[in-house]
Amino acid sequence: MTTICPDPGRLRAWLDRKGPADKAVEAPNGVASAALMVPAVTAASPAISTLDDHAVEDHVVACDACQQTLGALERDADHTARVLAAHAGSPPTVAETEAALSRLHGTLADDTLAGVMNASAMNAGALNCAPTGSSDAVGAQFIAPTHANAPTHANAPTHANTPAHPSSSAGGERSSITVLWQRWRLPLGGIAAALALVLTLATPEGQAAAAGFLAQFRSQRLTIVTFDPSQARQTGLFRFEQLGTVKNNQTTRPVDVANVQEAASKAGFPVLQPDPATLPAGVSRTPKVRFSPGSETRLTFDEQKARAYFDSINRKDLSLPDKLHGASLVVALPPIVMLEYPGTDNKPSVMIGEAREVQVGVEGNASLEEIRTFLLGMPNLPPDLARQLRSIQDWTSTLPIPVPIDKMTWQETKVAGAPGYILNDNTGLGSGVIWQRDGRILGVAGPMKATDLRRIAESLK
Amino acid sequence: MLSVAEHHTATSDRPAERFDDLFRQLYPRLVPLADRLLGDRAEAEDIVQEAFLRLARTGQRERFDRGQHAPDDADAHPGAGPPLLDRPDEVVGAWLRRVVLNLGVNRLRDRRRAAARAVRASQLDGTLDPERSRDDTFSPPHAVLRAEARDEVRAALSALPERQRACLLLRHAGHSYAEIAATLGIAIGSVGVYLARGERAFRAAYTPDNADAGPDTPRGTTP
Repeated sequence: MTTICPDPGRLRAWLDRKGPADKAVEAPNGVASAALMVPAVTAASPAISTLDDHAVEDHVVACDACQQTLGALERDADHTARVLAAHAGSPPTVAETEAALSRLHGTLADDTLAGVMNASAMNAGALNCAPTGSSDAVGAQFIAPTHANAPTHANAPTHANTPAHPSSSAGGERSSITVLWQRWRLPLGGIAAALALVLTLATPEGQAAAAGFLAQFRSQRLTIVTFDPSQARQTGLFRFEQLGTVKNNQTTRPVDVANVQEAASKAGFPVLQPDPATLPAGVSRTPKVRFSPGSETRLTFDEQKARAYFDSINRKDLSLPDKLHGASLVVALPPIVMLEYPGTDNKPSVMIGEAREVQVGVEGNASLEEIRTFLLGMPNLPPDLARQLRSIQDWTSTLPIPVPIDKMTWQETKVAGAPGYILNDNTGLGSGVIWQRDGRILGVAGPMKATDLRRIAESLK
Repeated sequence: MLSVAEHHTATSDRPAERFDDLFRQLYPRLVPLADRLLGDRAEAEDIVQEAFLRLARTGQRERFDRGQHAPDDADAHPGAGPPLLDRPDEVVGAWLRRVVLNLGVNRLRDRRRAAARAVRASQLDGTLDPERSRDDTFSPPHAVLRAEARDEVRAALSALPERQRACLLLRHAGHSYAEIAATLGIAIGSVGVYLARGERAFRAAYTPDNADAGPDTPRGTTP
């Protein structure tokens, strides 16, 4: 017999292993799944081998203290098993499992379709979601960030499409963008998604076309709005291309530039860089620099197209307000500079993005409030999302960041005194920090803890 | 349009079949895990579907990147090595369990959805199972009590430290110590420690008196 009492953890494991002969608890479903069921712990686990079991058993038989501990462990385990089993149903049957697999295939097939729809838009520059000039692609793209697949916008659309174009040069570019975008889907995905909602929120005051672009919206702060992807999947959210014509003044692929100075020159603003001491060990101190030029996207409302759309969804009661016909909503997407700090494997480990503020203006005769009211009253906009958007008081200067409610968690934070948000992929695999300061939107992302990212963010200068 | 299976088979050796096999093998074990965490079968099935959806998309992404980029996406699979779907079942299983736990915890933390779930659960409790609807214990007042008890259990689980909660849930959903260790990235010898602490803390947080407030279900019977 051993003279040293096993610790409670070892006793607990021993309790489980000795269970099946005399202690196994049959769960309601007939599967031994409660605490005292003994799993297959094999010799691959030498720390808790059968030999150890005998030693523990010999000790416990002769040790009053361990018997008391064991009793308490058993009561705790039994209580837990009973409570959890009482509130859980049976495992899925074979038929239920097959039905679930069938549903999954259906969802993935939908993804594939969405991928085809969005691929051209992604080709044009996923980094800043710059549209291609094709109204369909633009429409699909603007839908995508707030669509059910928003957080996987960079995943499903591009990859779903890959088998069709596995070796094209565009595919190579798309792959690079995809990796970049995947890394950036937290902060930059938020920005991109926000652009979609800016489009819905930005509300132009009446303006003569000759007056040209006049910013009515200028992002000065950020706010989170949550949406339910499953609901969004059903509604499809906005279909801007169905309400008029969407045009983009240029395609904006991100391009590699030689250094930070060149990027700053192209972007028109000084590029902030982190204190190298804040970067994780093994991460290069020399970033790869990418630049995406700004672009301008224009949605011109068209009464006939809107009529056809409303008819197609059996909403003959809806129509485009007269004042909106011919009016254009203009979204100015800012230049973006990306700094990628590669790890030891030469792949991006820390990503920093900087952009000027987003601006939205109008050309036409519709008023600010009329367009806003119209867009927030669109039938495909989930009521809860509409309520959140309506509740933004200073909406002419607040950029909403849509967050899929079941895919990301977020919390408010301050970065060097500026308000921002920490976003976490809820698989726990990545984090991002996004904030706005001095007229620019900044983001830091990487597969590391949010506190480490914030340290990098606060060192930017 | 290519089907999902065609996507996989375009670049790899029958990954679609492997994916389906994994689903059939793991789905029946993951749903009870999620169910114990959420206390809501529909929600449990939902997040397990979501976990497999992510697995499929990860496979698509990795296959696309292959040949142009070495698999480098830490979001898709931890560490270096072959694509996730090409790894052994136990590795994929651990990944899925981790994703399910994280998705579940995230849902628990969302108050609005929790409230919606409570309403939906109370509405559906008596209709999901025809056998139940014939039982007086599943009358609307009792359903409310069940929902309240379920929420109390969820609150007690939420209060546990992350690893203790995960160990407890995995173990009581029938997973082995080796599977738990692989899921949480801890030594197998530590599983018992976390489990013992978790069960003790859970019992303290959800007392027998509180437990009795729920359906007094004898062990081995359907609640």
